[in-house]
Amino acid sequence: MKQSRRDFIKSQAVVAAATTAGLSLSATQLASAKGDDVQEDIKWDKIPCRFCGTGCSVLAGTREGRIVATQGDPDSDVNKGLNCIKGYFLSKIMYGKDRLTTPLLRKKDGKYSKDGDFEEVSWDEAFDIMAEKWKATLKEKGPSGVGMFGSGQWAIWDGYAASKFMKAGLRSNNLDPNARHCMASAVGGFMRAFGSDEPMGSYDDLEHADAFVLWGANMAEMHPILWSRLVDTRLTREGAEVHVLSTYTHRSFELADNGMIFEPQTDLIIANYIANYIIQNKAYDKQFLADHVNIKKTVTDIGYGLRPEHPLEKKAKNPGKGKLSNMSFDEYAKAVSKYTLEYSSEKSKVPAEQLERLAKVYADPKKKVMSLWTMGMNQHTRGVWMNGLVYNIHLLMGKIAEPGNSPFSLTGQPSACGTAREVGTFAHRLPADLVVKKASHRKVAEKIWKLPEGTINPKVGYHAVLMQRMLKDRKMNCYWQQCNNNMQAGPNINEEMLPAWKDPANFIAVSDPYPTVSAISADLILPTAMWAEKEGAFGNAERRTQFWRQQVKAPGESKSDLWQIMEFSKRFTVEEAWGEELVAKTPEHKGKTLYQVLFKNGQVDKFPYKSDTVQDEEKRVYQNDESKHFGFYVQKGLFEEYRRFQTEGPKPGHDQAPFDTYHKVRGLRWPVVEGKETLWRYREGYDPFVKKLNPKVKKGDVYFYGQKDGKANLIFAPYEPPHETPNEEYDMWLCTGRLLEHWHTGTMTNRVPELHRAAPDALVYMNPNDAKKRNLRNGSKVKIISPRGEITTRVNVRGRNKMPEGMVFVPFFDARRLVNKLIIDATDPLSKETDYKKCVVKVIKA
Amino acid sequence: MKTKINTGVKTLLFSLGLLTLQPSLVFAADPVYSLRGDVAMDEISEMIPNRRAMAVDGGISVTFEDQPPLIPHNIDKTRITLHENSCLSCHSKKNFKETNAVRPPKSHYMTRKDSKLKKISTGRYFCTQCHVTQAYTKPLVGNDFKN
Amino acid sequence: MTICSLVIQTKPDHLRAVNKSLVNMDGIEIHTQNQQGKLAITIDHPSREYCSKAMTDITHIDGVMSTSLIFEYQEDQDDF
Repeated sequence: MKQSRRDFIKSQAVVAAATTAGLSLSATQLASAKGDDVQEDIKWDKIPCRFCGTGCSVLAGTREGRIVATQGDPDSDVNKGLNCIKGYFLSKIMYGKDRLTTPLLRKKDGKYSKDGDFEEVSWDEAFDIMAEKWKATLKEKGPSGVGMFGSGQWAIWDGYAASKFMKAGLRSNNLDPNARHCMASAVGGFMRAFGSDEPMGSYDDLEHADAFVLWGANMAEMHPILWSRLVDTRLTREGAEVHVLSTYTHRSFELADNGMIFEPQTDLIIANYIANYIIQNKAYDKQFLADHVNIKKTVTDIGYGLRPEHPLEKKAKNPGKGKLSNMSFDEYAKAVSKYTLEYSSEKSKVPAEQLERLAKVYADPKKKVMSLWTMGMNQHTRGVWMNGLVYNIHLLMGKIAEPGNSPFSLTGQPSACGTAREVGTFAHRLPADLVVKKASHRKVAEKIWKLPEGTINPKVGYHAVLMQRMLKDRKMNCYWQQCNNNMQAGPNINEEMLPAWKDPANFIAVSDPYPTVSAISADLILPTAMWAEKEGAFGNAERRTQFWRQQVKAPGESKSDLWQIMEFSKRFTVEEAWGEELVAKTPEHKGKTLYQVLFKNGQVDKFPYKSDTVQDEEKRVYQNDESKHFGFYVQKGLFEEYRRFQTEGPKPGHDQAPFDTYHKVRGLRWPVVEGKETLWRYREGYDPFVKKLNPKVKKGDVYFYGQKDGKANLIFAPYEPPHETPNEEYDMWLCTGRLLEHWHTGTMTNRVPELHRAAPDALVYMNPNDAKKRNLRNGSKVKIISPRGEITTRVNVRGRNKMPEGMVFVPFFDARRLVNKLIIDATDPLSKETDYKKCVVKVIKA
Repeated sequence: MKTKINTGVKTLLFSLGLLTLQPSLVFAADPVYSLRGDVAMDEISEMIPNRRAMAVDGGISVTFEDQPPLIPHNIDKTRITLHENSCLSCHSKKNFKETNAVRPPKSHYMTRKDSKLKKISTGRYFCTQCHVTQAYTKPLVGNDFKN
Repeated sequence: MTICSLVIQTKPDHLRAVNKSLVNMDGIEIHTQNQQGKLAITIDHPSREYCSKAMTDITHIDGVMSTSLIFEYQEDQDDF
């Protein structure tokens, strides 16, 4: 008997109700709820989670071409079968009913028009108009007139192809990832201290440390699986303790032995106080300092990354400068001596005994300490400095690069490390820690990419915030955004991004699976395949590279980011992109398209693809839509070419395993040498590069080979005031961030009914006294106003975030309340990362 | 083919029974809405209602195997800290019978290394990492997930 | 259109009366019940507003002690 869908849904409703109430049903009632008579078995395959930087592995169950279930992967070292609430609901993220299925272009009277409405167009028409705009801009303004904004959610090859297309193809370094908004300060910290990006430790430190210090990270909500490992250690290891630093009380405080609320920006003071305590008590490791550390100081009074005409930038002595100079130990000791316990307690408002307790943990040579941080430290106008100040503490004590002693920068996106950072999709970077401004680095890239010398532009491109300013100032006219929702995440959109995108001089394209606020603000929307709809690879926060196979087909006409980049590259000839002069250097490129030069170049296309090429260990066959379309194994070709940067480049210790290996394992932590992963970098016995690069190294000793002399930089930086502080009119601090149930701007999680119902609205978390003063109660309607914009919402005075007086928190997952309208576009002048954790607002009754 | 873009507004039209408006919409292009619905980027969204957590006798049924059950009651007064876990005062192996609460499954009594435990695994101590309440509100957009 | 299912707890001695009131309401089907006064019902109606109003009305029927929404499904008309 064939039943209608309505009957089927209704019978499911009945079963749900009856099961809940413990009522019995007839056999036919049960049968009709089961639906189809014949059901294929569920096929399970591993795939890394689509959300945060933890990199949990899940098992995705597919049946009849759809994901029907997901569960934690018991074979994964990261999560051992556990998931957080978001991970459990991964099965639903691709099935929001408003998936985009065809390209949409703003049109009027059959033609592209900025003020037209979205109409369905073919991919050909979409790329025709886009190429027309990009070519016109290239002609008029050169490579700096176009730009692309990508993501730490791009698969490794998506980012690699984008980097190649922009930097080699269009010779423009205007490529930046949204990781600029979240990890750039961490990168700055790593590069300055160690000369090589990414942590020395691994998640294994969570089981080895005696004490954990959270410096601006709410792991309980943002990294729940790592948190559960930390909780496990805290509750089972004798003497284990947890210290939590934050500007407000959040869920991680529930486990804290020492929870500290500090005044925004005074983390700079606290870190220097700890260093001072260590020196005053002569607890530092003299030998370690002598053997492995150079002491430096950084240029001060560096501004706040605002537009140059802003009074604060004009006032700054050294805006944007990061030069380091040498300092003796005594000079350093003197510099931090100002940060006494009394001074630090007074400025930070943390009780002295709590600060001292924290300092003692670091200063105790017997206690292994793991410091963890995320956005509290990175989204900070002195984020790079602050990252450095925490390394200083670990370097003073020699508590680094060994099990349990671990300064550990966590990441927020699934491939902030693997793609944005390792592939180098930043405006100043090239793959494997190389940078565009160094001629020797460009040369390596040009050789591997088979380009004429001088192809790669030595000028650093526009970073995330600068791109919007340049669009607004009409210095850049074409912008392509992939795999992120900058209109909801970027700062100060009322003054920068919104007018910039609305300007008829600019052509904005957005690739996304869903109609985000970015998509609807663009001129062209490109429907995009996501997660399990393509073959992919992510790199998590502990340097673990994980692959997955394509599980299902993308709906309608949607195509992956990789497909889009490669197809779009077919629209340009080298003459159009490079100019005749450069083409003349390599006549073999004459008349070719960028696609032919960059992708179908005898190198990327050297691995053949047939319909049964992708198989798992059980010989089950998987699709690969990109490889089928282009006629070669695209992902393998790109990854194998990318690996050459790791082995042939001047920066050692980035080696990854061959492509095929990763399809068989639950990820490997690089450097991978002879199939073996590295759990602790820079230490003999763990990291094979130490002995290789320093044959005389003592057993078990460290060697920071990212720096020329093998020594890490301890960099002194003082306290400097924040960019703005509450005043008479705007009398409160505003902090924004995430909640457990939603991920970033909520494009995926808002479309999962259970996650939406778990946290439906972005409320303003507020101290009860602050509410009272304004005649507000829990649930009152309010306006939150900053000098840049306003939003409305309701007050929450007893929720999960407990605010100190003078500070409010509003999460940013809710498109109906764009909290980024309120945020100032002040950045760390060195990392160019926006400070999302402090700006001024007022809250009034609505 | 017409794009099928579901929006809050469209749903609202249907649910108000204003189906007669449909023909007049045919001439205009189907508007593309974000989760803001028809509220423009520079406008202020409507105020949200105050939400209440669902209270469902007997629990909210799961939608696929291995889904962590949703919490079918208010947890405003629940506290999980280093010193107490008030979820377990009803749900623990010891108490669930008396309180008629759901008992955590076996998986919750295993270590990371698969050995059995008497008390709930410390790695699963913070219940709300996986179990959440549900507010009485409808989804912003539908979801086509099928089990 | 909207389909939702509810569990209703009535006072056991009011079960018949509640049944009678329910069958008189538009779009409501009773699927199963027990002697302790529990019923599983569905509401199937094009209008969501109707469904939420019906839920409120049910709570006001004499003898109904509680109603719980278990399942809610909404879809555009043109999909059917």
